[in-house]
Amino acid sequence: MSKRQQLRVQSELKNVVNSRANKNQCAECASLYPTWASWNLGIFLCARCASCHRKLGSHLTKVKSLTLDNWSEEQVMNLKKIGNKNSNKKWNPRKIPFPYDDDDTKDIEKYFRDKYILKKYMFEPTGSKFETFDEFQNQRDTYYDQYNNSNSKIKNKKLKSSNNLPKLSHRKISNFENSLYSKHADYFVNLGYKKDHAIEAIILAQGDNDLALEILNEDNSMNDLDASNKLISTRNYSDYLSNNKNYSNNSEQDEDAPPLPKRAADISKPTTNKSWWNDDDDNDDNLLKEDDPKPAVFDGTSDYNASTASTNPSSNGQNSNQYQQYLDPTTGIVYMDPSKPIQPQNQQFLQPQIQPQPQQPQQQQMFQVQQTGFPNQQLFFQQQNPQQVNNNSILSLYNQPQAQPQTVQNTFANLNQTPSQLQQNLTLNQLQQQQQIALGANPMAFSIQQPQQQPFYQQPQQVLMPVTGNIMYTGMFPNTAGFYQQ
Amino acid sequence: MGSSFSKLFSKLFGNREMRILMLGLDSAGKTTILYKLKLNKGITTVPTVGFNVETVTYKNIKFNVWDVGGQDRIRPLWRHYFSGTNALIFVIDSADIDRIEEAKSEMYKIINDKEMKDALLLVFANKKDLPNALKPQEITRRLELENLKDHIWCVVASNALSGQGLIEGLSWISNNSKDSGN
Repeated sequence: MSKRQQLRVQSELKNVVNSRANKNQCAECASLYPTWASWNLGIFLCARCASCHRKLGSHLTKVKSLTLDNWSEEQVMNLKKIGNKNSNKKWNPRKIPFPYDDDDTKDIEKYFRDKYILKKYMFEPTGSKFETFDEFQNQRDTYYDQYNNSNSKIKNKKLKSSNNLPKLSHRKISNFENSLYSKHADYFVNLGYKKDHAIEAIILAQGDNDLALEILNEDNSMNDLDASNKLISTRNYSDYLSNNKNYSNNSEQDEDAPPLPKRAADISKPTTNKSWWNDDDDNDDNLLKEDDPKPAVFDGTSDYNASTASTNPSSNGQNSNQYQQYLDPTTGIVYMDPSKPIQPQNQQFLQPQIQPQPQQPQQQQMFQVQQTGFPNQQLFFQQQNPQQVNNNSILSLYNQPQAQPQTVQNTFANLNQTPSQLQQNLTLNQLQQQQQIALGANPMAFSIQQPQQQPFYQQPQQVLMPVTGNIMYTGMFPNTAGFYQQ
Repeated sequence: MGSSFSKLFSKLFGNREMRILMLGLDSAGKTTILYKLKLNKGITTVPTVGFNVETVTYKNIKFNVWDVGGQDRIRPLWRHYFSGTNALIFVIDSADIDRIEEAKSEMYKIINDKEMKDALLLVFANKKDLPNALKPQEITRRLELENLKDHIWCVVASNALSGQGLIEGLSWISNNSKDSGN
């Protein structure tokens, strides 16, 4: 190559670095003034990322220095053609963030391996399940938003009445369907389902996320997948069976119901924050059913009426206790007027889909309590739960979001009902550690519920406790109990 | 008196020093080999700009190993390290088939230099663990080493991360340098 030609290539290279797609940045860590490039991947790299890239192997990424190497024309053309932006779009469409760590390159190498060899950050199903809790958390955060958006769009769409779940045929998904639903399906892919199955389930469920999930779960349970999947599938499927009637009955009315007025995107979402504080004797059954009255709105400051008034009358007309509900759009508090029974046509429900029968007695009781009007929550709680009088500090979780370690211990003790065992030498740190372990052990179980529980709390550390308490009961507590006794 | 005694002593017990130059194309694995020999660890290297020197002792022989960066534009600097070299280790990425030709031309540039005419030639066919890696026989053929008359040469398949082949290479150097060393 003549000197002149080299100069020309060099100046071309300079233009490519400064182009709009590359912005004179490292494609991986976005630091300025990259001095290296991988010409087969078509990206620019800083020195540190270049060294980690070289460790991937020269068969995957051909790293060259911008200043110390001679560039051929086609190499520069490849850089120009691909560039940082397109490359990241291809290899990391899920926008997994780069592990910034100045001292240790191990995380970075792992990130690159995941990105380019295992292709974990691409949307294609590669059987990627979350390996670490952090990873899971990252994706939960990413997908929380996505779930939120998609859910609000299709909230009022429900499947027409059918007593049986539609079954997946495992057919091949056409390109057109793929393009329509691929974004939506990513949510399920992220939960560990195959993309084709997810798309088919979405089509069958007519866009209903919950139903699609149940279809997928049932498909999974029929195909007898691994234990963690099974746990979820049995849970959701039993939910489905108990709620099946409501599905079919609701469907007609829900089509007509106008969307609820909303304050913020997340405030009117249903919670799975069942009445974990409502300490019955047969906890396990209770938790599996997921059918206790649910506080629809809780922001930590509203009073008791606000938090329980949302207990939702089921809409199937057989229920005598149906009241018109009002959602105050500015405060987000739900009011209920017992003097006005609902009109079948223009009713508005907070949670149209799930409210099974066994709940009725308790619900009525709640309403009575409400009407007589207890002055404060603690009084109410004494009435409701005599055994909790001593340590009704659970409520202080609600009253004081900055719960003390002492409070948290009590929370756990209540859940487990073996206070003597649990309260020995527990520090908050241990509890948190524990919690992480428990979550890490079965992130899938958690991920089902996470979209709903997020919005209500500012401080996930403390608040996760009651929520995870719920989940841990379904299968993890035996493991963690050993930890306590150490 | 003392100096002559130590000379005799070192002659008897073969306590020798050798200067070894390690060259090769960029990202062939030179620095990784060097630090695998020195520290017995597969470290994450940064592209070498300039050189690394380490002393590795093996079988009472001190190997002064010079590892010089292999980027295109710093290859002309290699010749400054030639003088006094006992052995050349030429490292080849045996999975990078496209650049074997380039490696070959660089290697012949080195060994045809006047200052390198006595040096042993050890070729590490590195990264032998990769699936599409060439066998050492194939490397020998592609480098046309059979026709090389004025150098003692050897091709060893190696894996710098696990250390396979590195010790074999060093022992080959120590075995074949006796004649030229004395």
